[in-house]
Amino acid sequence: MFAPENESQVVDLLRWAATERRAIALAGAGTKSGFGAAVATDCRVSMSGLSGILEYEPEELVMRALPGTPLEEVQQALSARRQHLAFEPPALGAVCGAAGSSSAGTIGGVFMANASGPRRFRAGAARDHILGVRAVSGRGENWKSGGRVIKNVTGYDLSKLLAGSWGTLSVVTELTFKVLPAPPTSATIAVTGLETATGLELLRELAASPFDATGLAFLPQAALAGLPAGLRTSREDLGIAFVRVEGSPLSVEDRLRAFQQLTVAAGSARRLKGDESAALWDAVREARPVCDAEVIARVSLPPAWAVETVSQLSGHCHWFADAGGAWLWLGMPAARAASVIAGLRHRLAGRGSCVLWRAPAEIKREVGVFSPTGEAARGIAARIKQSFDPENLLNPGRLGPA
Amino acid sequence: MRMPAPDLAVLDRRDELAGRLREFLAPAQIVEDEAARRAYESDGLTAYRQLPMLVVLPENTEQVARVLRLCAETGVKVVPRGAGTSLSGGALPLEDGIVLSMGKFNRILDIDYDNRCAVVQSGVTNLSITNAVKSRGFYYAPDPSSQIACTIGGNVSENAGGVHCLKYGLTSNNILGLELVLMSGEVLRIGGKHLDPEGYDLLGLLAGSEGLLGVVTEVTVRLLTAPPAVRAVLLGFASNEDAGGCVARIIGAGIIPAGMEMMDELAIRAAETYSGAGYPLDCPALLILELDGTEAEIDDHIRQVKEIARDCRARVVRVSASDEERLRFWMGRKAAFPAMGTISPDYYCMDGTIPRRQLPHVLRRMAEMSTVHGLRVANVFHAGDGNLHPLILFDANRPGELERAEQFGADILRLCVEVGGVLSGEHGIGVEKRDLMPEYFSETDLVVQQRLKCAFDPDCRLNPGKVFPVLHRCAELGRLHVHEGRLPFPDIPRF
Amino acid sequence: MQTHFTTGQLADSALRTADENLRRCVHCGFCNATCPTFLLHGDELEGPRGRIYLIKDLLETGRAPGAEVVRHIDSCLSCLSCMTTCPSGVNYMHLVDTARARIAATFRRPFAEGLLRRVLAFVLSSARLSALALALGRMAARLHLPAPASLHPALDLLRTSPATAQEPLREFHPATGTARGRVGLIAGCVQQALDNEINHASIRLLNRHGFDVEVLNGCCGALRQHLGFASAALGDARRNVRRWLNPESLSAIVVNASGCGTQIKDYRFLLRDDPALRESAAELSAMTRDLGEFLSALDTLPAGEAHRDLRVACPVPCSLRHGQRLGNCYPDLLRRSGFDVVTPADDHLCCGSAGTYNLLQPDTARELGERKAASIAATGASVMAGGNLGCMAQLAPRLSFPVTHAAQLLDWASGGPRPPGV
Repeated sequence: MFAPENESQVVDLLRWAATERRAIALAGAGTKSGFGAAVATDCRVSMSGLSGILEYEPEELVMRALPGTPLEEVQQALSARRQHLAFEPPALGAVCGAAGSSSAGTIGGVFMANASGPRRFRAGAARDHILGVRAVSGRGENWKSGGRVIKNVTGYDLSKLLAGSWGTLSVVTELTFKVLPAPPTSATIAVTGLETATGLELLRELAASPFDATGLAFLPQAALAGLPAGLRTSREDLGIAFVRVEGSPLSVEDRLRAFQQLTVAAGSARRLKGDESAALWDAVREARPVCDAEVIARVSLPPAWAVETVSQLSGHCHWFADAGGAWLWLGMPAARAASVIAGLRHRLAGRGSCVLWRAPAEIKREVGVFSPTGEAARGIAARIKQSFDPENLLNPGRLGPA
Repeated sequence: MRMPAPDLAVLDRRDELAGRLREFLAPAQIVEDEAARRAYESDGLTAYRQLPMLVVLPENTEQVARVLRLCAETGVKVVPRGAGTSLSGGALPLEDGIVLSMGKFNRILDIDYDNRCAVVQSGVTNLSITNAVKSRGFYYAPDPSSQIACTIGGNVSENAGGVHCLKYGLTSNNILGLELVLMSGEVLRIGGKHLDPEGYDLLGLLAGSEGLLGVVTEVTVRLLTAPPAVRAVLLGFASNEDAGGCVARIIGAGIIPAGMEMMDELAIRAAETYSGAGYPLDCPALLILELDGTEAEIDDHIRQVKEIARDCRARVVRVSASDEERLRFWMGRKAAFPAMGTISPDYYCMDGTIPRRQLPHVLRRMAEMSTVHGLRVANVFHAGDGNLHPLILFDANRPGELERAEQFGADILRLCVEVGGVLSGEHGIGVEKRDLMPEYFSETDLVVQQRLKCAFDPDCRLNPGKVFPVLHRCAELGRLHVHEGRLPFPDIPRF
Repeated sequence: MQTHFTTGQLADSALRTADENLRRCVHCGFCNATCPTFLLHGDELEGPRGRIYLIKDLLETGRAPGAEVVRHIDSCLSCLSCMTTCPSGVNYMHLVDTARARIAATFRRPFAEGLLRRVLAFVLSSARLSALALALGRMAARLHLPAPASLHPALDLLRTSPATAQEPLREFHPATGTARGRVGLIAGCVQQALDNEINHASIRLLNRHGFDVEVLNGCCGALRQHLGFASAALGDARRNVRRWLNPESLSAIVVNASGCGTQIKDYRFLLRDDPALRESAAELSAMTRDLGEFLSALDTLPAGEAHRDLRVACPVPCSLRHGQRLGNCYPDLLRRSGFDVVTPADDHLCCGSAGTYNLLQPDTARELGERKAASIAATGASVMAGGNLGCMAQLAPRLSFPVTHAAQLLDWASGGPRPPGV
């Protein structure tokens, strides 16, 4: 177990690993260590030693931090200047199986996992906010890409390549990312008594409206269980669509009125109280409605397909929709999960993604953490990995067979 | 501008190659005649010209794949070309290479309003996407000023931005999928109509890859809903410092305008003479903002902006009362580049990005450089995102002026890097800034990027001579270990 | 762009103007975006930027062009859409005409092709010869005599269009009521043979507005100019300047065929080096008005009711929209007179008529004609109003509703006869 404290130690560590052919498991706070295929490694490296905000310029909308900085620290620094990470990063610790971990994770982990929340469909994902990185490759070389500005086409955008790479390409030692003004107020309306098809259609319609919802989720009855008592439906086959609006108080009231008009035909709408709203979006962000399941998957698909996809799910599969209907979180028992996942991926046929966030090892092995890809795509991915980490030392096999 | 030395054996086999191409391409799709090939010898950076060996105009992905496969087999280099509007020489041909023009890939394949996306061929122009969907209240957000002519494939290659990119993102934030043909002829489909493709972020990597990793044949773009209302604000300041301060305070107040552009004195004067937009000529710095959202929201923002502007000693504060007036505010800014053509026979448009607050300092240093190099410079600045366009004025028909303009340009880019910015904001490195890459990247940084190139194009046939100043052979790169910034094989071919 | 003309070359007026234009071009490529042939082919060589580059090369080297280069210059419609789009003010029209003159002078065309071009230039520049050609053509069409493929569209049109007797014009047509002025009307060549009613309607309109009309004959020279017969076109210009200019009596020279109007307005440029005629040419150009332009400056005549709310598609001819920057005149005039006017989508794109283009480049002309016709039909109009005879002839066989000149509709609205077919 290693815990380097600065970049040069990381470089030494990786050079040693390269020479000695030692495979490494990387972690920040370990909240998402359960994600992916099992990694056969010789040693673990914790990046928590590289912690701290190096630079923060609110008027330049940029922050530079070390990867092991706790997300909470970053968020506190931002909220003190009325700014935030627009992509609303979840910790997803419970989803990945790190039950009992109260940590929200590290900023490095956020970007390595491309962890993004409900606002993703409006504000972009984590990868849309990364501006630059410093990193050390599996060859022990330290390199940088990007910078501290948004408009940058100087060399390849390796920061984006690293986002969502789950530590398999390089060890990030510094991150520069875009921060934005935090909306002063937020309000959510709940449209209750909606059948699934109506609810999902409504999400899609509202996402296309010009009034800028920043949160659009639909929770069927079963998914509402853990939420405050006021959020329930009268029948099992009905659910609630949630519409969040953020901005200045004036703007929020204005747009909320517009949304209330748009939803009047669908069902009865009520405005949530502050604590209800907070609890709801917290739960949606962390996928709490499904996080007790043995197998958890997230489907990202064209929103117009959500209705059909959900209708094909069997009864024992719990689900809820987020990101304007572009995301479906699924939770199901291990029995028959493999065939459900395989069936889903077959129907999506590469025109949507279906990622296994949690499953017993056998199921991960059987269907793979990610959907199968064609030969050309596999080849490219393998060669990219090879160019950064030819000895396959960094989180080997985490994203599937090499 | 040194380019990779031409392979004479390839040049000798030119006719043979044309013959093999004729097996699956119509005669109009191959340009052999020398005088005709001349039309393709340059892109928007006309200072650099190179007659290509052949020009090929495929009509579909299968033809692209066959052409690339054939070139891979016969060792022929390929330079992809969109609309040829690049300002960095990205489509500059190679003497022993073919230009692969994507001009015939001009169809919009599918407009999916339900999923708010459109699937288009890579030769479709940026503006025609918005034009196709605006009657339904949608638009495609990234809007570079060449949008009437530039293609979406080119936009992907340069990760194009535009006036609205601070609020709405760059190309990489607005595409959902693409189809790419590798130099081997393999066709790769990445992403689709969904938000989060699995695997490595190839969309992110390909955006801004300047035609070095593959040939884009199809792009799936996000469509956004047009905001309910849009208004513009024109602010005139007594100094660049005041204007810059205003920008910082607007952002500090939590307002992200849809667009925010600045012009300096020379740019204002030229734009006003050319377009008659009504700019105040007694303000050395002009700021034009665009605010969108609901009427109530815009009113609120305008109130705040006016307050801030007054605090920053704005001399002129105008708010557009109609869409016509809003467009008139923008008219001069949009005409800024061609307006330069009226006060100077030639101009050299630079493109660097700096941290916003460095603008007054950078402008002062540029004024000093202007005296040293003996050439005037006007400035247009994307205040929203720090992307700076110095326009160096010169006359190409006067001996030595082009060279001086280039030196001036290089000095400006070094200055950008010095103050914490980057070499290129949106035009790309191309050939223009290639030799300045070591000012920004270490040897290791460049090797890491070139190794990545090898994953896509191991024989380095696609667009060699662009972006990276030194060509390493992939076999060597594989074994290369850059130790403490030094390469072990100093004799590897450079050019 | 940087140019490489020698001082010797720059002593030549045409090359000097070309140099100025070429140096204005910054190779931005915006012009390609609105060029009809670029739209069809996606080939740099089929767009204005590429053509400008070819022309630059051609003029700088001074050599005779090869067949490939000629092909790409020949395929240019001269619609001038590029000039509307160009942010740098390049006068593409002058560049391409200089190139055409160079080609005509130095390039040896295949015999039949060369002959056809010369015959067209000769015949279509005379009202009498045009009438004769049309009569012969009608006969040939009816008898289904063999003809070169490029003439088939023209023969189809002649076969199906009625051979109406064309009522000749008098030399002078007095105003209705008290005359407030006197204008000259260019009678045109093919127009008098094919559809003289356009002229009659124009005269009635002008008379009704209180203008005496003096009919001016003689070919404006546009066809010859665009085919590259530059000295012949110059001859036309000189003759017309001497014959038509009569500033004491004429307050304006009105043209109802916008292709001719563009040419006449350019006499100022064409005769800039002629010391004897330079000033007169400038005067003549300055007093030339397109009919729509002229009428726009006058009050609207009282209108009847029969035509009210008739939906009229008003595609503006390229020579009017791009050549003279008068895209709004006819649509506005028709609206003011009570018609329900609609503009087809993509109206900046040429219909493919372009002078003799539809005879010399039939494939492209057909493609563009079909596109244009589709966009006009999509407006749901019941009649099309044209501003130039060429567009009308190109589109009439492709539309299921009548095609008439805007002048005829305006004439009808203010008391004249209903246009045929409407």
